[in-house]
Amino acid sequence: MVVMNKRVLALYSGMAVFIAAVFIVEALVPGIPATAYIVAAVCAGTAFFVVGRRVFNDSTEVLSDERDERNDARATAFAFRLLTPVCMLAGMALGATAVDGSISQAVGRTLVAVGMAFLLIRGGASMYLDRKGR
Amino acid sequence: MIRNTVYELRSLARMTQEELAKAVGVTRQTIISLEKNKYVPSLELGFRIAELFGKRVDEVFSHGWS
Repeated sequence: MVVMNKRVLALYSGMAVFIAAVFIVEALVPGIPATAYIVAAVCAGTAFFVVGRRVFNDSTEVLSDERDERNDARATAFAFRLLTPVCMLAGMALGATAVDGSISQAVGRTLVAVGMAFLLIRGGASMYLDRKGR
Repeated sequence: MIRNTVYELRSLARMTQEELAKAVGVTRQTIISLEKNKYVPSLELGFRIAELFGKRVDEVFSHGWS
Protein backbone atom coordinates (compact mmCIF):
# COMPACT_ATOMS: atom_id res chain seq x y z
CA MET A 1 0.00 0.00 0.00
CA VAL A 2 1.39 3.37 -0.96
CA VAL A 3 1.73 5.72 2.00
CA MET A 4 -0.18 8.96 1.49
CA ASN A 5 1.04 12.27 2.78
CA LYS A 6 -0.61 15.66 2.34
CA ARG A 7 1.30 16.60 -0.81
CA VAL A 8 0.59 13.27 -2.51
CA LEU A 9 -3.08 13.58 -1.58
CA ALA A 10 -3.13 17.13 -2.95
CA LEU A 11 -1.59 15.87 -6.21
CA TYR A 12 -4.18 13.12 -6.62
CA SER A 13 -6.98 15.55 -5.68
CA GLY A 14 -5.73 17.97 -8.34
CA MET A 15 -5.86 15.21 -10.96
CA ALA A 16 -9.40 14.24 -9.91
CA VAL A 17 -10.57 17.87 -10.00
CA PHE A 18 -9.10 18.34 -13.49
CA ILE A 19 -10.83 15.21 -14.85
CA ALA A 20 -14.13 16.24 -13.23
CA ALA A 21 -13.78 19.77 -14.66
CA VAL A 22 -13.28 18.35 -18.17
CA PHE A 23 -16.49 16.31 -17.89
CA ILE A 24 -18.44 19.33 -16.54
CA VAL A 25 -17.15 21.65 -19.28
CA GLU A 26 -17.94 19.04 -21.94
CA ALA A 27 -21.50 18.72 -20.61
CA LEU A 28 -22.17 22.44 -20.17
CA VAL A 29 -20.38 23.92 -23.20
CA PRO A 30 -21.13 22.05 -26.41
CA GLY A 31 -19.12 22.53 -29.56
CA ILE A 32 -15.62 22.62 -28.10
CA PRO A 33 -13.31 21.03 -30.70
CA ALA A 34 -11.54 17.76 -29.84
CA THR A 35 -8.15 19.40 -30.41
CA ALA A 36 -8.82 21.75 -27.45
CA TYR A 37 -9.34 18.71 -25.19
CA ILE A 38 -6.18 17.07 -26.52
CA VAL A 39 -4.10 20.23 -25.94
CA ALA A 40 -5.55 20.64 -22.43
CA ALA A 41 -4.86 16.98 -21.62
CA VAL A 42 -1.25 17.20 -22.86
CA CYS A 43 -0.61 20.44 -20.91
CA ALA A 44 -2.23 19.17 -17.72
CA GLY A 45 -0.52 15.78 -18.07
CA THR A 46 2.90 17.43 -18.42
CA ALA A 47 2.24 19.72 -15.43
CA PHE A 48 1.05 16.83 -13.24
CA PHE A 49 4.05 14.74 -14.31
CA VAL A 50 6.55 17.47 -13.40
CA VAL A 51 4.84 18.34 -10.10
CA GLY A 52 4.31 14.67 -9.27
CA ARG A 53 7.96 13.79 -9.83
CA ARG A 54 9.01 16.61 -7.51
CA VAL A 55 6.45 15.59 -4.85
CA PHE A 56 7.56 11.96 -4.86
CA ASN A 57 11.29 12.81 -4.94
CA ASP A 58 10.97 15.31 -2.07
CA SER A 59 8.96 12.98 0.12
CA THR A 60 10.96 11.61 3.05
CA GLU A 61 8.28 9.08 3.88
CA VAL A 62 8.31 5.59 2.41
CA LEU A 63 5.88 5.68 -0.50
CA SER A 64 6.25 2.09 -1.60
CA ASP A 65 8.47 -0.77 -0.48
CA GLU A 66 9.49 -4.31 -1.39
CA ARG A 67 6.12 -5.74 -0.38
CA ASP A 68 4.33 -3.38 -2.80
CA GLU A 69 6.73 -4.36 -5.58
CA ARG A 70 6.19 -8.06 -4.86
CA ASN A 71 2.42 -7.62 -4.79
CA ASP A 72 2.53 -5.66 -8.06
CA ALA A 73 4.58 -8.41 -9.69
CA ARG A 74 2.19 -11.10 -8.42
CA ALA A 75 -0.86 -9.15 -9.63
CA THR A 76 0.74 -8.63 -13.05
CA ALA A 77 1.63 -12.31 -13.31
CA PHE A 78 -1.92 -13.29 -12.33
CA ALA A 79 -3.45 -10.94 -14.92
CA PHE A 80 -1.04 -12.23 -17.60
CA ARG A 81 -1.74 -15.91 -16.84
CA LEU A 82 -5.48 -15.31 -16.85
CA LEU A 83 -5.76 -13.00 -19.85
CA THR A 84 -3.37 -14.70 -22.29
CA PRO A 85 -5.33 -17.97 -22.71
CA VAL A 86 -8.66 -16.10 -22.54
CA CYS A 87 -7.46 -13.75 -25.28
CA MET A 88 -6.30 -16.64 -27.51
CA LEU A 89 -9.41 -18.77 -26.93
CA ALA A 90 -11.68 -15.80 -27.66
CA GLY A 91 -9.71 -15.12 -30.82
CA MET A 92 -9.93 -18.75 -31.98
CA ALA A 93 -13.65 -18.88 -31.23
CA LEU A 94 -14.22 -15.68 -33.19
CA GLY A 95 -12.05 -16.91 -36.06
CA ALA A 96 -13.90 -20.22 -36.21
CA THR A 97 -17.37 -18.72 -36.24
CA ALA A 98 -16.87 -15.51 -38.22
CA VAL A 99 -17.67 -15.14 -41.92
CA ASP A 100 -14.62 -14.84 -44.22
CA GLY A 101 -13.47 -11.23 -44.61
CA SER A 102 -15.64 -9.91 -41.77
CA ILE A 103 -14.49 -7.57 -38.97
CA SER A 104 -15.07 -10.38 -36.46
CA GLN A 105 -12.54 -12.54 -38.28
CA ALA A 106 -9.99 -9.69 -38.20
CA VAL A 107 -10.63 -9.13 -34.49
CA GLY A 108 -10.25 -12.87 -33.85
CA ARG A 109 -6.94 -13.05 -35.69
CA THR A 110 -5.72 -9.94 -33.87
CA LEU A 111 -6.57 -11.49 -30.50
CA VAL A 112 -4.67 -14.68 -31.37
CA ALA A 113 -1.71 -12.60 -32.56
CA VAL A 114 -1.76 -10.52 -29.35
CA GLY A 115 -1.88 -13.69 -27.24
CA MET A 116 1.07 -15.17 -29.15
CA ALA A 117 2.99 -11.89 -28.79
CA PHE A 118 2.38 -12.02 -25.00
CA LEU A 119 3.76 -15.56 -24.86
CA LEU A 120 6.81 -14.69 -27.00
CA ILE A 121 7.61 -11.59 -24.92
CA ARG A 122 7.24 -13.62 -21.74
CA GLY A 123 9.56 -16.32 -23.07
CA GLY A 124 12.13 -13.74 -24.20
CA ALA A 125 12.02 -11.84 -20.91
CA SER A 126 12.29 -15.11 -18.97
CA MET A 127 15.38 -16.17 -20.97
CA TYR A 128 16.96 -12.73 -20.52
CA LEU A 129 16.40 -12.72 -16.74
CA ASP A 130 17.63 -16.32 -16.55
CA ARG A 131 20.91 -15.41 -18.27
CA LYS A 132 21.21 -12.25 -16.16
CA GLY A 133 21.02 -14.41 -13.04
CA ARG A 134 18.38 -12.45 -11.17
CA MET B 1 6.78 -21.43 6.80
CA ILE B 2 9.09 -18.68 8.03
CA ARG B 3 8.26 -17.40 11.50
CA ASN B 4 9.64 -14.33 13.20
CA THR B 5 9.87 -12.63 16.58
CA VAL B 6 9.49 -9.08 15.29
CA TYR B 7 6.46 -8.35 17.48
CA GLU B 8 8.23 -9.53 20.65
CA LEU B 9 11.42 -7.62 19.83
CA ARG B 10 9.49 -4.47 18.97
CA SER B 11 7.50 -4.67 22.19
CA LEU B 12 10.70 -5.12 24.22
CA ALA B 13 12.23 -2.12 22.48
CA ARG B 14 9.03 -0.12 23.17
CA MET B 15 8.77 0.90 19.55
CA THR B 16 5.61 1.56 17.59
CA GLN B 17 4.99 -0.13 14.25
CA GLU B 18 5.37 3.28 12.61
CA GLU B 19 8.77 3.86 14.22
CA LEU B 20 10.03 0.42 13.22
CA ALA B 21 8.74 0.90 9.69
CA LYS B 22 10.60 4.22 9.35
CA ALA B 23 13.77 2.79 10.88
CA VAL B 24 14.01 -0.05 8.38
CA GLY B 25 12.56 1.86 5.40
CA VAL B 26 9.26 0.10 4.77
CA THR B 27 5.59 0.93 5.21
CA ARG B 28 3.67 0.22 8.43
CA GLN B 29 1.51 -2.20 6.45
CA THR B 30 4.59 -4.34 5.81
CA ILE B 31 5.41 -4.44 9.53
CA ILE B 32 1.82 -5.48 10.29
CA SER B 33 2.04 -8.30 7.72
CA LEU B 34 5.44 -9.36 9.09
CA GLU B 35 4.20 -9.54 12.68
CA LYS B 36 1.24 -11.65 11.59
CA ASN B 37 3.68 -13.99 9.77
CA LYS B 38 1.82 -13.27 6.55
CA TYR B 39 4.81 -11.83 4.73
CA VAL B 40 8.30 -13.26 4.25
CA PRO B 41 10.73 -10.34 3.91
CA SER B 42 13.68 -10.10 1.56
CA LEU B 43 17.09 -11.03 2.95
CA GLU B 44 18.01 -7.35 2.91
CA LEU B 45 15.02 -6.36 5.05
CA GLY B 46 15.62 -9.33 7.33
CA PHE B 47 19.18 -8.20 7.96
CA ARG B 48 18.07 -4.60 8.53
CA ILE B 49 15.52 -5.68 11.15
CA ALA B 50 17.96 -8.02 12.88
CA GLU B 51 20.68 -5.35 12.96
CA LEU B 52 18.25 -2.79 14.37
CA PHE B 53 17.46 -5.04 17.34
CA GLY B 54 21.12 -6.14 17.72
CA LYS B 55 20.33 -9.77 16.89
CA ARG B 56 21.44 -12.30 14.32
CA VAL B 57 19.04 -13.03 11.46
CA ASP B 58 18.44 -16.58 12.71
CA GLU B 59 17.48 -15.20 16.11
CA VAL B 60 14.71 -13.13 14.52
CA PHE B 61 13.60 -15.45 11.70
CA SER B 62 13.23 -19.22 11.79
CA HIS B 63 11.61 -21.86 9.63
CA GLY B 64 8.75 -23.87 11.07
CA TRP B 65 10.12 -27.35 10.28
CA SER B 66 13.27 -27.18 12.45
